[in-house]
Amino acid sequence: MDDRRNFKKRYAFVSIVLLGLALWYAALPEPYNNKELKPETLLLDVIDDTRYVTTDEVAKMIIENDYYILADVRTPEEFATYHLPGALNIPAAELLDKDENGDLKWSGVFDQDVRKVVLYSNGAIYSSQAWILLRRLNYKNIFVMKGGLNEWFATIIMPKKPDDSVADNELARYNTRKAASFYFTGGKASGVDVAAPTTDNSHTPATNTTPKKKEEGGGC
Amino acid sequence: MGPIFSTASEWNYVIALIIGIAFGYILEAAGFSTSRKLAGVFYGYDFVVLRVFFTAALTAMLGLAFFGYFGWLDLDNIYINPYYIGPAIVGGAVMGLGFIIGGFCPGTSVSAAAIGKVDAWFFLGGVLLGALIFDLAYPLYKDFFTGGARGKAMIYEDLGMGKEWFMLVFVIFGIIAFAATAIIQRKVAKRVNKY
Repeated sequence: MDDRRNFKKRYAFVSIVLLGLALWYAALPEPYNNKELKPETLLLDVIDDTRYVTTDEVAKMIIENDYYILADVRTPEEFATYHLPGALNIPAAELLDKDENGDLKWSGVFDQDVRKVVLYSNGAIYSSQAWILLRRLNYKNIFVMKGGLNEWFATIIMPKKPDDSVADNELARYNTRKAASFYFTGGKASGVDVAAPTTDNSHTPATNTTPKKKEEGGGC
Repeated sequence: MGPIFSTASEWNYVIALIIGIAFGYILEAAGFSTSRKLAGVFYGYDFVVLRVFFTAALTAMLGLAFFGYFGWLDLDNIYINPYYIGPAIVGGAVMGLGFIIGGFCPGTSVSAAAIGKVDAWFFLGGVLLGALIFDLAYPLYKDFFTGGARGKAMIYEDLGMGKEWFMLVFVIFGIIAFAATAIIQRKVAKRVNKY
C-alpha cells in the first residue's frame, strides 16, 4: 500500500512539473527572431553573387512578361522621374515598416517563392543593402539588378555598338539590346539607331529572336 | 549552443556510441529487457513501458521547445523522419505484432541479448532474417513503401493549432494516460488475483 502511495506521489510530481513547463511555454511571448537567417548563412550569401540578375535578364523578363516582381527601392521622387515598367516603389527606408497588425508591411511582396523579386536602385549599393535586410528575414526569392539603373541605361537604353572584331555572340547581344531599347523607349533614346537592327548584320541571328537563355541569375 | 558537434564531424560516431550505451543501460535499468514487462502493455498488467516512453517524450519535447526558444539549439538542425502515411500504418502494425509475439522491441532485444537472455538472441536472429527478407522482397512493395510521402509533417500544423497549444494538449494527454494506465493495471491485477 505504501508502495502505491509513493508511486502516486512520484507521478503526481512529474505531472505537475510537465504541466507547469507546458503552461509556461504557452504563456511565453512569441520569440522575436525565430525566423531570421543564421548569421553564418547570411555571411556566406553576401559573398555569393548568385543574387545578381543582369540588366539583359531583367529586360528579357519584362519583355516576355515573365513571373517576376520589380521593386524600386529608391525614393518616391526618383521613382516618379524614371522607373522600369511595372516596377513597385518600395523605398529602402520603408522596407521593414509594419502594418497596423504589427506584421511586416511588405512581407506579402517579398515573402513568397512564386515570383522572383528583383530589387534595383540607381547603382547597386541601396538595392544590395535592401537585399541584406530582406535576406536576413529569410525571404528566399530576392535578387538584385546588377549595376542598377546606371547599368540599365548603359546597356539596355543606350547600348554601345561593339567593334566589328568582336565575336558574333557579342554582336547578337548588342542587337538584342538595341531591340530592347526600342521596346522600352519607342526609339526615342538618343544615339540609338532603331532602324539598324533589321538592316545590317545579316550574318548574326535575327534581332527579334530571344537571346540565348543565359545561366539563371541564381535561386534556391 | 547546439549542435555540440558539427554534423560533418568524425566525432559523431563516438557520440552515437556513448548515447547508444547510455540508452541501452537505461533500458536495462528500467527493466525493459524483460519481455514480460513489454508484453504487459498489451495484456494490461504492466504499463511501465508506456509511462517511461511518455515521460521521455514529454521531457524531450519540452526541453527541445525551451532550448529552441532561448536560442540554445537550432531546431532546424534536428532530423525529422519523413512521413509516409500508408507505410507508417502498416509498419506500425507489423512492429506492434512483433512486439507482442516476441516480447521485445528492436532496441530492448539488443539490450536483453547483451545481458545473455536466450530468447533475445533468437529474437535478434529473427530481426536479421526479417530484414533480409524485407530487402530481397523490396521490389514487390516498393511503390507502396515510398507512397504517400508527406515530408516533414507536423501534427500541430495539420490541426491548425500553435505548437505551444499542441504541447499543452499532449502533456495533458500524457497525464491522463498515467492515471488511466494506473487504473487499468489495478483492475487487471485484481482479476488476476481472483484466479
